[in-house]
Amino acid sequence: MEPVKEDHLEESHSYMGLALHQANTIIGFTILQKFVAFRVTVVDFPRLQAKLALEALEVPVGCVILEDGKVIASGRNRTNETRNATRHAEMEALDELVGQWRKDTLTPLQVAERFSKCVLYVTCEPCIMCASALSFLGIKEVYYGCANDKFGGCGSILSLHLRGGSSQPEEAQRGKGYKCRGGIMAEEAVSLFKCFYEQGNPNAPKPHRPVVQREKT
Amino acid sequence: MDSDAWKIIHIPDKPTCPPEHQPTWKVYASVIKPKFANTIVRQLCKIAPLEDLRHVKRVRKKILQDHGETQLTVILCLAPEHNDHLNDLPLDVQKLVDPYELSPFITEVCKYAAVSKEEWEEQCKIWPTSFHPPTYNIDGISGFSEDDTQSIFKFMRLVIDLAVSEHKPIVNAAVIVDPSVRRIIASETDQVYPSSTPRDMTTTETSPFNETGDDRVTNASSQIFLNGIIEKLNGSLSDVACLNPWQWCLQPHETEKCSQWHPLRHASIVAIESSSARDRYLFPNSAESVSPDHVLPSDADIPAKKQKTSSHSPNVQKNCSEEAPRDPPMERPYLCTGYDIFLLWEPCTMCAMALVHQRIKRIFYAFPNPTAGGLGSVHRLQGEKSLNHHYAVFRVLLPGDAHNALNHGLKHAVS
Repeated sequence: MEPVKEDHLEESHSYMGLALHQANTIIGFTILQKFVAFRVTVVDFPRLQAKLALEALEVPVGCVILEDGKVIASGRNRTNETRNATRHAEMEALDELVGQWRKDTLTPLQVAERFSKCVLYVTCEPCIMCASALSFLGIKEVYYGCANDKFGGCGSILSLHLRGGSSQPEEAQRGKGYKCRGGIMAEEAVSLFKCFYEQGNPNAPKPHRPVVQREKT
Repeated sequence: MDSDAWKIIHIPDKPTCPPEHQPTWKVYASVIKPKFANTIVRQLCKIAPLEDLRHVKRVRKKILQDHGETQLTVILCLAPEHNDHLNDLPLDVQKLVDPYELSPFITEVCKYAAVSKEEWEEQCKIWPTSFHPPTYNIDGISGFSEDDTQSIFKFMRLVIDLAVSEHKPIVNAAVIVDPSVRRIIASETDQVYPSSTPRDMTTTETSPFNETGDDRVTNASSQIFLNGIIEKLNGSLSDVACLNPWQWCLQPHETEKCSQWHPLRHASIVAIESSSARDRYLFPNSAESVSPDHVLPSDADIPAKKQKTSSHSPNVQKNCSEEAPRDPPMERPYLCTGYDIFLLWEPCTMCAMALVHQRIKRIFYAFPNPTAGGLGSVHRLQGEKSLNHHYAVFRVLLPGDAHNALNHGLKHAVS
């Protein structure tokens, strides 16, 4: 990937700051919930505390979408709240846009035109699902914070931002791909994750076992 | 093969290859003196562990024909793929050569663990490996009971009904099922284009799939049934979201009349949303039911299964008596843990990853997806080791005519 120019880098940082802020609302909410939990602890501690903690905690990922340099949508991870593990920050923001544009009675073709001008800033590399979705929608560019070495779809596990692999004529049908660049304010994104995982994810099934290895009996 | 019959095949983690042409890796090996065997193996495990080759035996034992002596050969370490020189032996390993009188040579071992006995037998001709028949903790990989098979066919028929009957052009359909009680959790179709019927999702009060005695899938009954889909498959497949995920904006549809269209609302995504809506509706008070101990373990269906497979007689009464005691203390699932999903088409990579996130246990689809499939056609998520969840994938083969029609239809789709 080409080096980012100095002024562009600064701009990237300010947008990533916004994305981080989205992610941070999750943590902020948690702290508030904890405070409430602390106050009721005296009355009915174990159950209520567990309840409040369970309801509020989300893996902290946030994003913003820009069009012509203006923020037009934002999203944060809501997987635990919705009990729908596909409600990633990117999906939240993309749905917000589609909903808005549909309301404005844009045609699918017009919606596609708008997406082709959009830039996404997200605190963590989009997963395979989100990276595919961004490709389907034909987004212009994606900037992310830290890499996602378990699920990443923009280079870590799969490279779905690239155009379809072979050069057969029908590959034209497989989208044009999008520009993607990572490592922007990665440390800040990672420290948010650390903050979350130190508290533990109570919504994950316990005990969390590693994948069954077929090699072992 | 009987092309008139329905059939279920497992789609494994890695592409299948003939047993005699399995991919290999080059390794350095050496004959060793039996008295040094323990020491050498211990040292090698430390300096050159074979992390990705756990299925390969480190030491090969051979009985020499002439004197009946035992010959031991040990794998020293991986060798460079494109270079047959012995000079590239890592320094740590090089240090063992003189003290233990090694004479390194390059040989090959199989890259992946065998998935069948046939593969394993072929592997051992090259270098001995270990073989563990795939158990995987998921039912069906080593075969289905007659009862389960019939149940799978019935859900697949339901998927076909959904995909064909509700819409003019054929679309993809998704049915999420709790296999332990054969209960439908969600059933949805693509909602990418405005023609798709919006459904009320908050009232997904689900009931066990209606199992009447006479709908066992026989060749004769399925033929009549399949005529409907065959006709559709001969037509355009351009509305099938997972097959054409990039073409959503090119379809001429009247958008004014319907506010429901959405480029990402593929059947699997909609079904996941519907199942999570059901979860929130049935278990609004999350804290009481979400204690991790209440998470449905993946083998919770064993008692029910055993009862069912013990009888091949019509299950109607049996199901009723089984359902009754299970209903009141219905346990809140963790996402779709333990559930199956039935799809007409192999899901695209977006949907396949969504199903990983939602912890689906088994996926059954009828037709492959050559443009964007995430379960073997283009990508193969069930074989991506880094993911935190792995499902088992099966293809349900419909009788021959349906497939001929599909191939015809696919030509239209890509032209």
